[in-house]
Amino acid sequence: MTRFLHTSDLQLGMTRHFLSEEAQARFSQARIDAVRTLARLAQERGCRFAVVAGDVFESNQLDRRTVARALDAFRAFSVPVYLLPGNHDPLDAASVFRSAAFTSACPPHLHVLDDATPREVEPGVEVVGAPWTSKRPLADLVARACESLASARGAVRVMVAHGAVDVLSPDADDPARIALAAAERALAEERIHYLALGDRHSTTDVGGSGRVRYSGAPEPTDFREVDPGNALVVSLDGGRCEVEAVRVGTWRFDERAYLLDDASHVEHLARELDALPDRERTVLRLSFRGALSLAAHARLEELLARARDVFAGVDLWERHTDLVVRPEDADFAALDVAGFARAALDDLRRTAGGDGDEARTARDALALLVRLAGRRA
Amino acid sequence: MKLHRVTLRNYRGVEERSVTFAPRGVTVVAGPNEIGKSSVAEALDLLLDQLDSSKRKDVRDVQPVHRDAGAEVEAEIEAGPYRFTYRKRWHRRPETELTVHAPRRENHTGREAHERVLALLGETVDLELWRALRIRQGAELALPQLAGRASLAQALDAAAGQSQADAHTLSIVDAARAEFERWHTPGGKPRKELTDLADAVTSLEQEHAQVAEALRRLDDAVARSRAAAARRAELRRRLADDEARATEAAARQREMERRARDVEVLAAQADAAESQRDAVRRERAQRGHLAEALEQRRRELDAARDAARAAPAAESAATALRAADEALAAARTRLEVADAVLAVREGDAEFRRDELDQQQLGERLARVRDADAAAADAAETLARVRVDEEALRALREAERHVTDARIRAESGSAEVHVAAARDVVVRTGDTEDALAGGSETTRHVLDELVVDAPGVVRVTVRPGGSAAGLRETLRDADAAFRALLARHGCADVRDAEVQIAQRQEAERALARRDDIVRNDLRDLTRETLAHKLERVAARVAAYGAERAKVAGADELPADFDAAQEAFATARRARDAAAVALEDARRAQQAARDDVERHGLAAAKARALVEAAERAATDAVRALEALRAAESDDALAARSERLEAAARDARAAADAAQAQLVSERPDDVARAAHGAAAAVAATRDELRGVEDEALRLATLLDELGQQGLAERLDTLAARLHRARHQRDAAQRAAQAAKLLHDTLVAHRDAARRAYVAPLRERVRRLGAVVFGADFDVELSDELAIASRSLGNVTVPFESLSGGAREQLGLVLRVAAAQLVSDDGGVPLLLDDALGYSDAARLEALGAVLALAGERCQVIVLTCMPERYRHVAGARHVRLDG
Repeated sequence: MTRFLHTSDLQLGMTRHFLSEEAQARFSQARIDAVRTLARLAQERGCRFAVVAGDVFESNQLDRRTVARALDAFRAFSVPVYLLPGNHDPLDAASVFRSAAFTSACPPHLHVLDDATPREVEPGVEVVGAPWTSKRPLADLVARACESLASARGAVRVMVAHGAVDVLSPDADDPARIALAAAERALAEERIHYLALGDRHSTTDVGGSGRVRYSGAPEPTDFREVDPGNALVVSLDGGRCEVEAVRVGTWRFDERAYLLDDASHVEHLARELDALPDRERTVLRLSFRGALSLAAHARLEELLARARDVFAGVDLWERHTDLVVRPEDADFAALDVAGFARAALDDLRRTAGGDGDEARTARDALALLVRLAGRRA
Repeated sequence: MKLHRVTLRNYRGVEERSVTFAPRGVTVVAGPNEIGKSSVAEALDLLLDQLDSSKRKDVRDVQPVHRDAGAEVEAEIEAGPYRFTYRKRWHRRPETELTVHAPRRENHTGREAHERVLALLGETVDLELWRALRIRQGAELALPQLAGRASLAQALDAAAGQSQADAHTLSIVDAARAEFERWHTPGGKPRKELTDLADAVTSLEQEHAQVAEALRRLDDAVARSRAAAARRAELRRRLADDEARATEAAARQREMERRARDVEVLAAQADAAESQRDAVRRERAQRGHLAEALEQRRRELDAARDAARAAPAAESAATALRAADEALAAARTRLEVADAVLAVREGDAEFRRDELDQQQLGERLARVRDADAAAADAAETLARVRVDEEALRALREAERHVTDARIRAESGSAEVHVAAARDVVVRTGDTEDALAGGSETTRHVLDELVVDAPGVVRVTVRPGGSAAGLRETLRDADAAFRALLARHGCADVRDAEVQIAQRQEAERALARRDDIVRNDLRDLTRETLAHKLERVAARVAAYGAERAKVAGADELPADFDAAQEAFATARRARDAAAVALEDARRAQQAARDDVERHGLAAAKARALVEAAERAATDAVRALEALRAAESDDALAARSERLEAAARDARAAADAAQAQLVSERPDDVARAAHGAAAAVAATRDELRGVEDEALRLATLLDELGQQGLAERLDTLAARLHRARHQRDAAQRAAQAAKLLHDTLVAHRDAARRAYVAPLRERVRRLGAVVFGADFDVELSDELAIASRSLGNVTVPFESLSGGAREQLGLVLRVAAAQLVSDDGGVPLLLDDALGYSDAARLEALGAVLALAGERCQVIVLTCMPERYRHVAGARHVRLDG
């Protein structure tokens, strides 16, 4: 039986703009820590080796320190680790894998799958990669790698690849899509025994064989990921293939949409946010719809300000936000203004009733007026 | 609105006081300060504004100090159609009471009364404005910065608020301004906080763009690097193909070149064959020419022989020549004889002339020599003779002196006659004469005379005294004479005369010698003359012997003339002989020429024959030599063979050339060059691509180390946040600005609503004071900006103090009239003219009087005399 660890999409060096500098530093650290967690997992489960199916790095152009820290973390592995260049870190002329920062600090058990030649991990076990050599390959790299493969002749052979599988990708025009049928044929012909895929950050079992899988990213990177934060422990034993998804992620990307039509909705939102766990490692993306009075909107602003202090990040998804601030009589009932001030108020309210920036500014001005008047009262 | 009466009870220090005001015109209320003329105004404010239950400080302040009673104010007021009495008491048993007298009687108390009054006034009076005016009624009219303008503007601000909460409203404006100024300067420009945020965005955008550009360059370099690698592989393949093609083409070209060389060899062979053929052709032609030449030579020989035989005999010419030779020799002999004779005759003539010369020269030389001898003697004489004519005269003179002295001395001296018996010695002075015995002598004793006869006697005679002087004179003269003789080398005068004669003779001898030398030597010296003479003499002496040697010497001519004659005759004979010789020579020459001409013709003919014979022999010999080497037949056979060989070789060469041309060797060469050029071009291109790959690798090395993508992401995140901050700040700033601007705009609009009517009233009131062409300009702040009279406009600040006070008062009155329609509200002036001088007071009095015609004016003062000038004023005392 051969057991190994399958992971991918570490995206080391990734920056998220909705994180503050402080949160970004923790986010980056979490991803470095993930490497050590994976190393520990591999040891605990008796894995013979580990494969990283592409996008080890967020980019080819990374700060030296980022590369150095990543390599330092990989030292935690006690078994060979095979890194595959993916679409983010392709093996092009500027490849990070060929940079001085990498080659000078690469530990001996760390291998880059820089061609499609099978490599023997140990007698009877081979790893073969389908590395990306540019950001836009013009062919199915898996199919091409399989074509040149002879039968494994009794050895267990794991292919490591990166990219979208045709049955999952909606983009039919992408020439680099991995044809599942061809891969399954190679499996059936026992030229390969497992296809370890990367690129999709959600853990996914592709097709019916159970031997074509996306491990998903070990730490989430975005809101739209379905099931990130896992690594796969794969055991191949004769005709059997057992795969266990192990949770390793510590961060959450949480996307929420709310309908806000009165003050009670805002309070509901406040309660919901308060109930979320691991808030300092949670990144929120919020979108709102509805219409709020000045007072309710002021409350919402206050709430968000507090959330920004507590959560790792709060991103307002403006594209999906359609929140109208509608000044109401009640907003001004308490205001003790008369004469020209009253006339000015009426004027602003008229403008605020319209659309566009002018109306928005008028609403802001009204909110300010309410705030100033309230402070005086 | 009119104030008819105010009554104060237990109000501050006032126990009870009631003031009644004139309903129209000016009421001057006089009272000491401590009682407080201003109490009237204050009391009115409290009455209208404060509930009886009020515990406010200003209410507490009016509580009477020493009385346990509530302060009370009562007023009788007319407003529009209403006339009412209104009373309030505070502190103790507070109470409010309103009695409306007209138009309909009403009674109200408490809060209701308060409200009712406000309602009544509200109907007829602009309470806010009035209140505003009242608030500041104590201020000075002529200081518009404090009073007229600022206070009125503030009053009108408050009035424009149209609300009880005016102060609150104003505080909102202030807060809005504070908010506005948090983001903007008072001028409306963004503050540093805003611009910093915007600048931060800009600077991040720039940095982001730079990094993005660098990354784009890097991506581009990666793409180009990939393309370069592909291109390099392709070019290497192409280079291999090109090289193979070039090798093949080069081989083909070499083959062609080899063939071309073969063609050249064939052509050379043909050339050689043709050359041999031509040689044999030339040989055959030469042989033909030789045969023809032999014939020609033979013909020429025959002709030469004929010509030689035809040459004439030359014997007669030779004979004539011999005769001429003999004649010439004879002529020459005759000339020689004549020459010899001529020579002898010449010698003879010469001899005879030499003889003559010898004689003459001898004579000349003798004369010269004689003259020279005489001259030598003369020179000797001249050297010896020292005396001349002058010396002779001196000598004669000296001699005469001596004679004279002697005569005188002798005559004066004794004369001694000695007759010697025997030998004695007579000594006179130094002279010692021996006088032989028997002789006698007589002597004048001029000196001591001793006659010594040794052994006998010595007689000494000494001259006497006078004789001594004469003797001295004589001795001196004699000494002088002798000295002169000695000097001239003369013995005596006779001798001197002889010597002079000798000298003259010597000088003549010298002159003679010079003449002789001049005549006889002429240009010769004595030596040359002597030499010449010797030579002539030698020739003369030698000639006889010489002539004797001449054969056949005849008689020597007798003299020089005969010799000359003989010489001339001999010359003529010799000349004749010379002419004869010349004739003979010419004749001999002519004969020789004839002989030579004939000899030459014969020799030429002979030579022609010989040459012709040699040529003929040579021709025969050459032809025979050729034929010996190769017979004519053999030559013909060889010629035929070589002709055929040349034809064949040329045909073979032409065929090969045609074959070569048909295979287009130029095209083959061009193809080879083209293939080589293609290889070079591909190599160049490959080198270029390799260079580019190297350049790109360097660039990638440089750019790839910078972590550009990560930096870009970080920058993008920062930029995102910075934009967010900037937008939020800008949004807040915009809101603050909009709020502020809107508030201020409305406030200003409210103010402006007052401007037009206020100005109109000011104009109407002012026209009374300043004339019909008076006008003013009011600012938005409701201050007077300028005053115009006719065309002359003066800014308010530039007006005189009096004019400013007058305008200030006019403005006040106008504002008061604005407050209500029925002639305005009471204008309360609190000692308003405190700063005016007497003259100005008078003018203001007029304005006040004028104002009083239209509205109720109440002046509160402690100096009522100031208002003496106000016509028709009603004076009331508060304390009396």
